[in-house]
Amino acid sequence: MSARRLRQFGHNLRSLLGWRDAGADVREEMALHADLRATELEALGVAPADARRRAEREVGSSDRIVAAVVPLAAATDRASAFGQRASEFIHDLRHAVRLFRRSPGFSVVAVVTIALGLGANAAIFTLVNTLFFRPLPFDPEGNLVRVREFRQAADGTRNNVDASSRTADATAQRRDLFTSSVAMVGTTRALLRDDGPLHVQGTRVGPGYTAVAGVTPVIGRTFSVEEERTAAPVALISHRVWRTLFGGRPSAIGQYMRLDDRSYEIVGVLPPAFHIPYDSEVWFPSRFAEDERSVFILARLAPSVTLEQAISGLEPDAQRLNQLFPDQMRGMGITAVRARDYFLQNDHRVALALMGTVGVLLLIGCANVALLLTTRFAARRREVAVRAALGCGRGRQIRQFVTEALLLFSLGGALGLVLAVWLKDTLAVFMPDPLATQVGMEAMPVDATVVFFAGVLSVAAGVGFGLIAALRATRADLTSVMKDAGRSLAGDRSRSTLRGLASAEIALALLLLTAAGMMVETFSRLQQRDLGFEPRGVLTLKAGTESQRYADGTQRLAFADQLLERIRLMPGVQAAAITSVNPLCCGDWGMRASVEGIPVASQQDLPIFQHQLVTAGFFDTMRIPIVRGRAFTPEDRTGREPVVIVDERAARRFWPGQDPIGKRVKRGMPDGPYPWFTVIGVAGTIEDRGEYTDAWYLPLAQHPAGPSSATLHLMVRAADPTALVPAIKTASAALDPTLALHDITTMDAVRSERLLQSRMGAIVTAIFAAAGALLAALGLYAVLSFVLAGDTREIGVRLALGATRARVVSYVVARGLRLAGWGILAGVPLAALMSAGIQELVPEARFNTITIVAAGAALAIAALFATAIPAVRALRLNPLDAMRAD
Amino acid sequence: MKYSDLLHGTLDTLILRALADEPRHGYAIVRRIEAETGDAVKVEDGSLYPALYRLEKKRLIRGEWGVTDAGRRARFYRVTDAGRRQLAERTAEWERFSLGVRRMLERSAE
Repeated sequence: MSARRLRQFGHNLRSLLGWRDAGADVREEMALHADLRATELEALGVAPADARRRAEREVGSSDRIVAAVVPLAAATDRASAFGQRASEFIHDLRHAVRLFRRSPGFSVVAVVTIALGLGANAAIFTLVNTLFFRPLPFDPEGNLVRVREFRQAADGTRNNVDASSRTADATAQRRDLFTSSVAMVGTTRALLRDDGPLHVQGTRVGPGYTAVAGVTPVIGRTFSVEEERTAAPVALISHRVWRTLFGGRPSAIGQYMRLDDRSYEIVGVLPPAFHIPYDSEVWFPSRFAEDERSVFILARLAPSVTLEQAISGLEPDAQRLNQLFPDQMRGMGITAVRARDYFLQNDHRVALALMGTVGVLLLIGCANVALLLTTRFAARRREVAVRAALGCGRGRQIRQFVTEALLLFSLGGALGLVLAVWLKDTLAVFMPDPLATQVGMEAMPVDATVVFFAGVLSVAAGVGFGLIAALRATRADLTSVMKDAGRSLAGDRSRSTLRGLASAEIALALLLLTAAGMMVETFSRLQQRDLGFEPRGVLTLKAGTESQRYADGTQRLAFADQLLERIRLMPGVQAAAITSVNPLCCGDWGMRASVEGIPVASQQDLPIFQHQLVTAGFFDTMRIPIVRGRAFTPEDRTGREPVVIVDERAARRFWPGQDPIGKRVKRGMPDGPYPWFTVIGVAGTIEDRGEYTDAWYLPLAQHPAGPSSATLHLMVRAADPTALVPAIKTASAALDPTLALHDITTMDAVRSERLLQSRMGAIVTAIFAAAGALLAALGLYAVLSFVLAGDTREIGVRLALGATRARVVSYVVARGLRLAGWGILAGVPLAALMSAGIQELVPEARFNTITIVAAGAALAIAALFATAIPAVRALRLNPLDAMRAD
Repeated sequence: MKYSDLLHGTLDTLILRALADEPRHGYAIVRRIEAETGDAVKVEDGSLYPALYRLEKKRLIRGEWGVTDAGRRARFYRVTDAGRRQLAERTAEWERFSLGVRRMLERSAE
């Protein structure tokens, strides 16, 4: 092969592959020119060597010139290659649109399948997007942090505790770490109105509250420096309070409102859905005592200071406080958490579980579309072969097919986004509480990030699944097509792709069904679980006794006793009691205590009891069994022997194998100032109380001013609890017209509320799983129909040779079940893996074999249904027609 | 248009003109220019191909591989629509310019 032919070959190869070597082109072109010019010069009588040199100089065949020209040529090539691709793409797109118009049924099914999958994904992603990516409305830079304290026990465990005002002062002085910070303390107040007292959550705030929190009043103004310094009686109110109590009138500004015993002038209204901290509704300036507890600190990180730097930067302050106040601050440390993480409170797990589920659903939907595309493309095998024979490259053909897939997926994606807008609001229930109620992020908009997500997903799925179908379809060669023309619609290769897709769908559907099974099982278990008390039939109300009037505790006790007395006389009331903690909600109130006879080295090593103050009748009202000893009676009051009731778990832990009655426990260290309490009874254990596993109950009458929040929880058991509400309100108003009863609900409702996420999680995954199983069954049906259409002749032959109809049907059904069987087999280990992931995200969830067996059985039944129609079709075959079948 | 630009663009304009009636390869372009101008214009050594590729990049001409009468592979250039518009503009400019120059020269000769 001569050098020129070799070059020619190389050129052909390059152009075949679609790229050109610009340098080689330029050189070849110039060589020709030089040759021609040299010939011309020679004809004019120039000596051959001279002629060549002169020709080359004129043409400019020097490397310098070539080097200058090549980039120009290459740029032109690239531009024209791009133009070529673009025009091909437009051509393919037109072709695809024509094809889809020709078979609208197929197109609609495919687009709707994709739209459902992508719509569900986009909807769940709006939730994920809001949880993880959208900035908090008042914290666009993400530099807002909450500063907290923790106590480190001797064994190294850390407990986060509320901060103290000392830590707040220390934080405020660290201008190198924080540009600003503010301390606040939540307080419940009775807002006194003409029609009775109203409970409101208030916040005492230090200087600079609105600036640090990043809000400006929507009307009115914020506090002046002078007002903050003097703790003037001025207040900001929430948008909600403004709307509901002041009718949303601007004239609210300047009005006075009475909170307990003091009047406040309203100076401003904060933006809608802003309730920081703790669902606050009113804010007023306040000064803090030097060692105030329960302080909520917000701070803005200084520019270029990271959270980690801030935390380690606060270490010296913690050490200093440790040394200055060894009694209160021992083992104390300061830490900080980003506002976003604080508001999220680890509550994103359900969202992630849902995202995974819906992702699997999308995969099934895409596989189904790939199936449809494969059968469609397979039907065009002859077209492919002919085009290939006419010189259309495989790459070009694949691009054509993938463009078709892309068109379907883009349409589906666009429709899916519309669907997502409509679906997403039902998902607001999965929004973690503080994010929704304090920060107002429950809107979950379909923003640019969501659109981008849906776009990337559609394109990736379109290319990926389009390729699966296209690679098979374009592998045909002319001879094999001609050879088996008329025998089967698709070659064995297409069939194996189809079978693989169908089995994969079944495997994925098994995952979904298993996930749904786990979620449903979790919910029903949680719902039916014996809590250790009977929430049904109990009304619960809170009475805020924070006003000065109840400061010494005996008044509070007197109020409680009188109110209970009146309530017990009401018709239908079976029992009534007051407790410091609602056992269904927010029950973490730990207290370190000593158990007589169990020595400990230091305060930090003391066990922590879940601490609860109750009146006599509490155990009756809640139907908590007293398994040993006795319950409290009205005789357990101040002046009598201090008594305590522990729960069974504590009894087992501290006095295993012994009778706990008569044993003694006390608050704090054994040699501390508090009295010993004698155990008089053991109560049944209440499940799921939170952080502290061992509980003790103390009679409220012996601890009137005891360590308790100022809120009393009233529990009333009655035949028709809600009917009592007006009577109880009247009774309360008669005792104290300024006291606000609030959060009036039934324990049943509190429980449903707590299980709402679990219930919605179960419902949503069940819907996804049902959709997934349905899609997988449809996929199986499509594959069987397609494969059998190709086997018509074979079946005809078998029938003609005497096969019974029963055999033919069992042949068809066996094929279907074999595909489903492979899918289920492949799905089981995947489902086991996934269940571990679900348990990670939803700790209450449990994996059991029954779930997976039920899922497999459900799929087998679905597969049986999917084979029914093709089987009946095979049954109806006329052998003669079938043998002639094309 | 500045005088220098005008002269600089001369080769480009001549190439466009040479290709106006039919596609040609590089050597044929040079021959055509020299023949049409009566050898008054010589294409400067090594200046043709940079000019051709520059014009192609500007999409004023387009090159395509073809075969010469003698059976050799050659790149044939033809003028695009944009090239024709450019040629018309340049021709008009050149005529205005040369008319002006001629007027001036003829008057001063009197």
